[in-house]
Amino acid sequence: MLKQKGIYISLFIIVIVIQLFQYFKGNEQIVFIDNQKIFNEFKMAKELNAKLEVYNLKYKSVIDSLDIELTKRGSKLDVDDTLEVKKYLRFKEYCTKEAESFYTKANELNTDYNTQIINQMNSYIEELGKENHYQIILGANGQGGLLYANKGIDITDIALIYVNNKYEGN
Amino acid sequence: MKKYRDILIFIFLSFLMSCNNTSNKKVASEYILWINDTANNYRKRKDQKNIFFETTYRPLPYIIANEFRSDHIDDSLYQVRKLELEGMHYFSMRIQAKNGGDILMQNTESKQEYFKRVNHYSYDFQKNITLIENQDTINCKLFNFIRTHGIAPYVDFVFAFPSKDKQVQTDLKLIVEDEVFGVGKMNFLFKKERLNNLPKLITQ
Repeated sequence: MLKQKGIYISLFIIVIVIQLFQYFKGNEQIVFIDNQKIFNEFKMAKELNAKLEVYNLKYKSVIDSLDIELTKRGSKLDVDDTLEVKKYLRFKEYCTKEAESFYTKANELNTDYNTQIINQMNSYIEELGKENHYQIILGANGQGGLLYANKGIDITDIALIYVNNKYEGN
Repeated sequence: MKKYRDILIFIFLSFLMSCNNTSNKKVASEYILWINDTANNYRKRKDQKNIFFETTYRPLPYIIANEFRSDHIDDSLYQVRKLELEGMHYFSMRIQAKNGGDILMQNTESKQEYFKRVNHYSYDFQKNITLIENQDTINCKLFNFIRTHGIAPYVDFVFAFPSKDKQVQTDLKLIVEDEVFGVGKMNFLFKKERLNNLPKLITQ
């Protein structure tokens, strides 16, 4: 009976020690995340990049067709026929404007999407930090911002699962 | 030894009873509080920098409880109202400024931008809300933008999607595309198990 009591007390102490260890460990931990990896593998980033790719492909083919048509017209152009030259120049101007508008729109989309990705990812990372009581979450971008960190405090994979879960609405 | 075993059985039974809490019957006021509690997963929240987006799945008893505003709801009136409401999935959404200011003036000083936002939420926002059920994308059929004219730091929306089945067959994923605050696409997942395991509303 006394032996059993001893076992229960020991188990109780072990549980308390583990809890205390986790509590203090969580409170004091400084961790880091591989920025590039999390950005590339974040579901929202993948979705928006695919969307951007579709847009680029669609309009790139339009611009390419216009370019081919312009070259064709240019090769057949009679430089002495002023009316034809005027027509050709108007078409060329149209092609340039179309290309410009495509690149401007693609850049705007890219900027908008990046802002959305960064906004959502930052808010999820902040939640992760608060939930796990991390003191600091550093971002390693491979450009010297973080020169060395022990692999043991790399939470990239944990963070990736967390942000993707949060994005999915869980 | 027998004493320990009895204590363990008691704890286990208490645990089981607390788990089974969702099948409880609730009066209207309790029902509303229960659905509004984010811990029960009918209300989901996305925190962004200065704002948050909060969506609530509104089961029929919850809507009726909100309408009657009384713990004594007549059963026949309840049944009639339930029949009227059936066939849709109802949701509400709140966009709120964390600093307490007018949400429609967040990150802008321009009155022109303010009216652009009002216009967007009144007429275009409905197109940005979809529901995924059973791999089908369903468009929002009922939509109402509730303006607070700057009195409250939030704007509310209520919307609904047609549903074929009485029982929810799969998880419901509500997708909201934000175009105003630079947040973009947001997913809110409502688990099938939760939606099919609602408490009953006490009627008389």
